[in-house]
Amino acid sequence: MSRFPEIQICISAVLVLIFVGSASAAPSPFGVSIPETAPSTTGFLSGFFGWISAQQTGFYRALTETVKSLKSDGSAAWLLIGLSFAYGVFHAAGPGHGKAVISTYVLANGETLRKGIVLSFASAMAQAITAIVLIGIAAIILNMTSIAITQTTRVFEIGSYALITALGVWLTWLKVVRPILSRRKPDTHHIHHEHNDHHDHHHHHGEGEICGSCGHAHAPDPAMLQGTMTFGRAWSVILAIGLRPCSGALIVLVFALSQGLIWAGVLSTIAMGIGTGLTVALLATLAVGARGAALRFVGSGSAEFVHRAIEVVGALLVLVLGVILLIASIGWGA
Amino acid sequence: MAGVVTCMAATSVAQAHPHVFVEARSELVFDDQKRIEAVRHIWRFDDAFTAFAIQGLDEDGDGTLTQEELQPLAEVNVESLKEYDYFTALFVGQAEVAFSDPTEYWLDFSDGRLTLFYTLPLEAPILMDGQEAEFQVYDPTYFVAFEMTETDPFVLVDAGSSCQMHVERPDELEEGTAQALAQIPSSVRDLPKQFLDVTQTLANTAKVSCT
Repeated sequence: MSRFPEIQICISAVLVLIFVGSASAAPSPFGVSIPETAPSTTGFLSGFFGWISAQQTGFYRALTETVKSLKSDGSAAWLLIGLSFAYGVFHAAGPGHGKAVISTYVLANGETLRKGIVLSFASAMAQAITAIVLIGIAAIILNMTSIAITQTTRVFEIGSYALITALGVWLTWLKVVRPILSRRKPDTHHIHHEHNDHHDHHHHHGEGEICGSCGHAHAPDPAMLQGTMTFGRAWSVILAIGLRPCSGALIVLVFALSQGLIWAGVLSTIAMGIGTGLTVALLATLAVGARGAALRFVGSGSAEFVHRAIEVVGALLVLVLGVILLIASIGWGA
Repeated sequence: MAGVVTCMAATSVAQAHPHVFVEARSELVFDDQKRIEAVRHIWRFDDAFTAFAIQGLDEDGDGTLTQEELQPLAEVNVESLKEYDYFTALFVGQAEVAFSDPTEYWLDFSDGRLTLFYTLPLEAPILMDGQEAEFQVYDPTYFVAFEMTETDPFVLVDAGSSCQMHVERPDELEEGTAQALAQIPSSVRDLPKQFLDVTQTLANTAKVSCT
């Protein structure tokens, strides 16, 4: 059992490489507007993501054209909403951090389908609201320059990735480290010490979950299976993802502002958020469905083991994803 | 943990799709000894990127942007471009030519669009001396979509009558190619061999030979 974590870490790292490939947040080539932090894929998925990317480019260009045409033709608003929605759908389907974090979190935390969908839409809308609030305050109230806005966005981005990493650390503690500790050393004193130590750094524990499986780590906590989702936990996920606004939305907002059509920018950003939420919800649904299928397939005998394994891998995936994004965004080794 | 670190080291930075569209004209500037001494770029940005970039720069609020008001942005532009090798490649014979930091750079704002002008001096002027030069302007990662101007996309300045130029525009990107390109991480300077052929078709190229 002692070599278990290393093996799992390696498996999850490989999985991240397969699904994520590489993460990124290079500075913008022109110093303004941060390029998408795009975990991109290699291998067989890259063709699909490439197609997504091409679609997204088309929608992006059409979107900015439509904002312009709005000045003379108010009915273009519907077209704008449609294009923004489509951009959002493809944006989330392409390489991006939101869907990966939500899907793996849902798996790691044994969330129900309904909660996965709620989380998907809530985090996508949080992203849209961040963009609107950021531009509202930075551009309209403070009249900050694009250079300053870009620097602010970078701080938000790093904050977002730090939160994802923290979420990963917490999930790894909850799903991997603590069960192993409690199995190896059923000394509650020791466990509690570890818990306190951890608690100093991260404040999103739900009530009663910390020792939900102390002493009987071999069985999934029934409360977890049903997906008890405290506000604190849900908000930490929503905040972690929502803190990083999409660059596309920022450009569209400022562009709309420059055309004297800020409402069009807001409308577009919200439509993008709904589109993004839809795709992320779909992926979360697939993740929950796949978990259910896997559990049914193995039958009741090994279901418990498979359930644990999914949680362990999910928790480590969130952690590795967070660390990769954080490193890429701070720029180490980039 | 060593495995994780190794795996992470293998990951790299990527940007997927173009968010900036640039209309470009690029010049090769010769000195009085018929040596190439600099590259001059004129890059016009699309209107959405322009709107974002000029946000907050009209300090006196008079509705126009002077060169002085735009200068901090121009500075950030050229400083950031260094990381991307200025999206410029010049080969003389088989050797790739090195550039110094840009000497002069400014932005112009007219008709709702920003245009960046900058001069990129060669580290040392190069005598063509019967060799062929290949001059390329493109973003291999396709984050910035470069399109050369319709007329005079490449210009030879003070080259004299002994130089010939042949311009090769990128083939209209086939859908498949665009997809593949969208996946190449921007940090990858030395592209994997299988991508080289692909990006060659993306490059805006001028081939110059002087006698």
